[in-house]
Parts: sequence; C-alpha cells; structure tokens
Amino acid sequence: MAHKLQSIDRRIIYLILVVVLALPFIFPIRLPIEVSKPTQDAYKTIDQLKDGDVVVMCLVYTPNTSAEAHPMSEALLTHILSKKGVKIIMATFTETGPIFSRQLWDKFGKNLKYGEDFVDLGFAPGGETAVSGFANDIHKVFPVDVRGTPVGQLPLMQKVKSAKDITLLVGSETGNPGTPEFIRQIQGQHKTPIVAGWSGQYVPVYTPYYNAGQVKGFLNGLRGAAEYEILLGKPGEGIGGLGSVTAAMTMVAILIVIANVTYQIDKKGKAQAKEANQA
Amino acid sequence: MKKELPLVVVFLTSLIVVVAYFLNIPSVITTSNTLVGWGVLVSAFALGLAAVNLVRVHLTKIRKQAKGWQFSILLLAAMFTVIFAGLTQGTSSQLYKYVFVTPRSALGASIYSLIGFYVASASYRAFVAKNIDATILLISAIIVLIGKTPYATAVWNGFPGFVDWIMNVPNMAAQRGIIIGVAVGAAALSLRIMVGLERSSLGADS
Amino acid sequence: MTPIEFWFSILLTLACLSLMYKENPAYSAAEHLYIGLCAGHFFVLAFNNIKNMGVTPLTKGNMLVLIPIILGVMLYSRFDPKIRWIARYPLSFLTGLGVAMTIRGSIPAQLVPQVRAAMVPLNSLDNVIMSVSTLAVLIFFLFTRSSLVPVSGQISKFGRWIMMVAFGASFGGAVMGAMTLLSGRVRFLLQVFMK
Repeated sequence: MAHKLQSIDRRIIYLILVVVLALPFIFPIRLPIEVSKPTQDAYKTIDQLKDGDVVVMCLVYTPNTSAEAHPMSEALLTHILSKKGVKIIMATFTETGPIFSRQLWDKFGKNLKYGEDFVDLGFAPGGETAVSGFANDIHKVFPVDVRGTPVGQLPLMQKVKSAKDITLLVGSETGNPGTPEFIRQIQGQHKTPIVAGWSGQYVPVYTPYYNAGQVKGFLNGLRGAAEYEILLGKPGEGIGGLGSVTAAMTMVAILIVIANVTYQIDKKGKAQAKEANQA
Repeated sequence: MKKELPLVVVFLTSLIVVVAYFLNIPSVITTSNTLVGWGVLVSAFALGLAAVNLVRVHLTKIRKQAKGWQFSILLLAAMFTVIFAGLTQGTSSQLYKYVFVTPRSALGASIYSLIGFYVASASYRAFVAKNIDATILLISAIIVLIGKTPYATAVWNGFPGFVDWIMNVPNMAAQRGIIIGVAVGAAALSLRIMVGLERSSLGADS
Repeated sequence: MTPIEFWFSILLTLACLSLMYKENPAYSAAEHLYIGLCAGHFFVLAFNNIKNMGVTPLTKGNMLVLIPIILGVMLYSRFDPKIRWIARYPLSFLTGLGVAMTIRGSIPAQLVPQVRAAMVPLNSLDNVIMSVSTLAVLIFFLFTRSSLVPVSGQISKFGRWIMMVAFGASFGGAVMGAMTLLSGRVRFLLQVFMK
C-alpha cells in the first residue's frame, strides 16, 4: 500500500492541485486574517506621509511573478494616493516593469496630473549600477520618461534630482535588483527609508534588514497584500486569492507528511523482509 | 597588453567609484557619477546582445534544418514583429500591447506557474527526511506552511506565535550569519578582482 | 482586455500548462514564442536607451558620450572568434563598476548594520539563542578549524542545523510564492466559465 502510494502518477497530483486551487474561487470562503507586525509597520510609515512628500515606487517584477507582486503594488499605491499632496515617481529596473506602471496609472491615475503629481520614468538597464546611478543623479539614468519627454521638463522632476530629494522608497520586488541593492546603494548612503513588498521566498532571507531597521516595514507576498487590504478596508486581489493559495499550501504540507509516512513504512517493510530473508 | 590593459581598466574604474564613496572630493564624485552613467549605457548595448545571438543561432538551425527548426522560424518571426512594433509605434502603443504585452504576460505567467506543479510533485516524491538535516528542514517547512495560513490559530492557538519565533530567532540568526558571511566574501572577492588576482570574470580566454 | 486578447491568452496558457501532461509541440511553440518576444523587447529597450542616453546627447554636442558608445559596440566583437578579445575592455569596465558597487555597498550598508543588529543584550533566552546561533552559522562558514576552539566541529554542526531551520522557512515561503503564481493562472482560466 505504501509503495503504491509512493509510485502514484504525478499527473494525478497535478490534477488534484488544480482542483484544490480552483474550488475556493468557485465556492469562496472567508478566512480570518491576522495582520502581522511588519505589515502594520509598513502601513504606519506610509500613513505618516505629508503634503509635498515624494515617494518613489520601484516595480521590480515581471509578468512571470506579477500574480504575487502586483496585488502588493496596488495595495501600497492605494494607500499612498489616499495621502493628499504626496507626489509619486515610478521607476523600474526590470525590462517589463513599465507594463505594470502603465497598468497602475490606467487604474489609479484619473485624478492625478501627469508631470506634477505622478511621473513614470520607465526602465533603466544595468541592475545595481543603474540603482547606484539613480541614487546620485536620477536625470542621468533616466534622461527621458516612459513617454519620451525629457525629464528636466517635468515640473515634479525639477525638484527631484537624487535620492536625497526622496522621502520614501517603496519597492515591490520579486527579483533583482531588490532590497539588498536598494539598501547598498540608496538607503546605506542617503538614509532613504524603505518600505517593501517581498515575494514569499525572500521574506525569511530579507527579514534581517527589517530587524536591523534598514527596512521600515514589508508585505509578505499575497498574504501581505491581503493584510494591507484589511488595514485599508478595501478588499482586492490579495484577499480574493488567499483562499486558493491557503488550500494549495495545506495540500503541499499534507503531501510532505504522506510522503514521509509512506517512506518510513516502506523502509520498515524492506528491513523486515531483509531480516526474514537472512533468517 | 591584451591581458594586462583590461585589468588596468578594472582597477582604475573601481578605484574611482570606491574613492568617490568614501572621500568627499567633488571632482572624483563627478567622475564617478559619469562612469556610472556610462555603465548604464554600456549595459543597454549588452541588452541587444541577446537578440543578435538568438538570430545567429536560430538562422543556423533553420539553414541546417536541425530538429525543431520550424519553431526557430516562429521565434524569429515573433522577435522581428516586436522589434518592428516597438521601433515604429513605440512601447506605449496599442500595437505593442497586442504583439508583446498581452502574449508576454500570458506566457510568462504560465511558464512560471509550472513551478507550482513541480513543487507539489517534489513534495510528494523527493522531500523525504533521510537524515537529521533533512528532518529539521522539513519540520520547519511544515510549521511555516501551516503557520502562515489564516486557519493556523484554529489548529493551535500558539501556532502564529511559534512561527513568528522561528522567523525572528533561528531564521534571523541564520540569515544574518549568511548576510554577514556573504558581505565579507563579496567584499574580499571584489578586492581580489579589483587588484587583478581574480581574472575569471573577464572570460575563459583571459 | 479585448475578446481576441482574452482568448489568445487562454490558448497560450493552455499550451504552456499542457507540458504537465507531456512534452508536446504546443508547449514547444509557446516556449519559442516566449523567447522570441523577450528578445525582441530587449532589442527595443536597448535601442531606445542607446538613443536617449547616447545618440541624443551626442547630437547635442556631448562628445564624451562617444566613449561608452564605442565600448558598447566593442561588446559585439564577441561573435567573431578572431576579434573576441576586444570585448574584454567593455567587460572590464562593467566588472570594475560592479566590483566598486559591491565594495562600497556591502561593508557599510550590509556588514556593519547587521553586525550591529546582532549585538543584542543577553538578557533573554531568545537573545541568547540568537547570538549563539549567529556565531554558530559564522563558524560553519569558516573553512579552517581553529585549534583554539576545540568544539568548533560541533558548533559548526549546530550552525548547520540552524541553517536548515532557515532553509525550511524559505521553502515554506517559496511554496507560498509558487502557489500564488499557479493560483493566478487557475483564476484566469476560470474566467472562461465564470465571465
């Protein structure tokens, strides 16, 4: 029995996984979500923004990982936009970042004046080199915005030349350059506060930066987006997708337990058979 | 000179940028900022390398009618369509949205989502505790997996607190140790590259 | 999203997910399409960035920008084995920059703050565990066993166990990330029935 379970066709597991992921969308379940301290700290940091503050949002993700990162970006941007008079600059260091800044502008930009309240600088190649260049001279690394307008002609960018002029850096990241690069090149040198949205796999790795105070608060993937939506009182993709992800995570945990139990039973059976043969 | 001059370039470039960070000399800082700006521009040329290389490789495949050459035609057709749309209409245009943004988003999201299937399959077949290290890893993984779900409190009241403890104490200690170790290692390796003791970064034939 | 875009995306999604049944031409086509699209996009971005950061300043009289332009063009010598050595110069330049970024970033911004944060008062069990564990992990990374620390082997083993706890936590996070991505695709496919 244990051996049969161990050699089950993997496609059956895939099918069960798809069903497990789909059911919570068809039969939505309301799950109690406790807001974690890092999310609360991220919320408090953004809540303290005042009229005239400049926030730079760095979208460091691709369509490959946008299912996890975009809900975080939307939740964070919703909060920033609720603070009257805060200026937003979008900059990205991944080649498909402008796709998402464009989506955010289309969704949230109706009441904003482009060039004065909101600027999209587009993409700069070079990874950490570009981040370093951005920290010291934004206009050199982004000579034109995503629409082709020289950056010096935009009223907002006439006041913002380097990281010294930025009040807060908000990073929504699932890749490179990410928090370590922002800390090395921006926060370390200019002491710019950072609030981040991290992919689930990076949270354990980057937690020391939060613990050391280099990151003021962070969101933990889709769960973090859901927690932030609860704080905002505006349900979105985070809360919508959490049921499905929770079901899948439970399934993986159960699979690991079954695999180990069947392995131990199989191992014991083999040992007993060997003893019987020797006898 | 073919081998020595590149090392001089590495040394001088890195020296200027490092000195600019630690010493407040305006002329050095200006030079450093200029060099970094140049770096971004050179990186832009590097972006185009991928496209050029793919054209070479796949044209050869089509010419030789190697296995899968029909897909190479599809690859090149897609590439040139995107280049045409991007250069003539711009990356913010509706045409670019149809030929690049929409298919790229669907394909990228789908290909990456396959990881989920592999994780589930591996969880069942490969993640077996055969020694003490693997046992510790799996126990920690299961605790975090269950503890991060919204119903963890229903399983055990102390679950979320225990997960927080794992993240904030042993995980924090390990990751901090890794960050410190990696930072020291990276700095040491960077200094070795800077002074020319390490040349592997310049290519196999150097 | 227009209906054509929607159904095209559904088709591409199903072509990719068909790999889970078995390797097939639909998946291969989707894979090649993906690579072609990405390469085309990289080319367009490269063109635009070179135009905005290189050509435009050059036409406005900034002759210094010729240096990075020439360095960038030198990169393409990699395709000819006879002149491949020319590409070493732009690579050296980029390497020099990268190395400088690491030196100036890793010590003041990563090493020092993390060491400072690791120095916690030993007034609670958690702080004692954290300090001992951090030291154990660092000892694990040392390649030489000091004769001054007779139990460094055991401490190193303990450090490895602490790292296993951390990797387990990372695995848990990675599972959440992977399932989020797959959940996003399943939700998208369900729109066919639930739209």
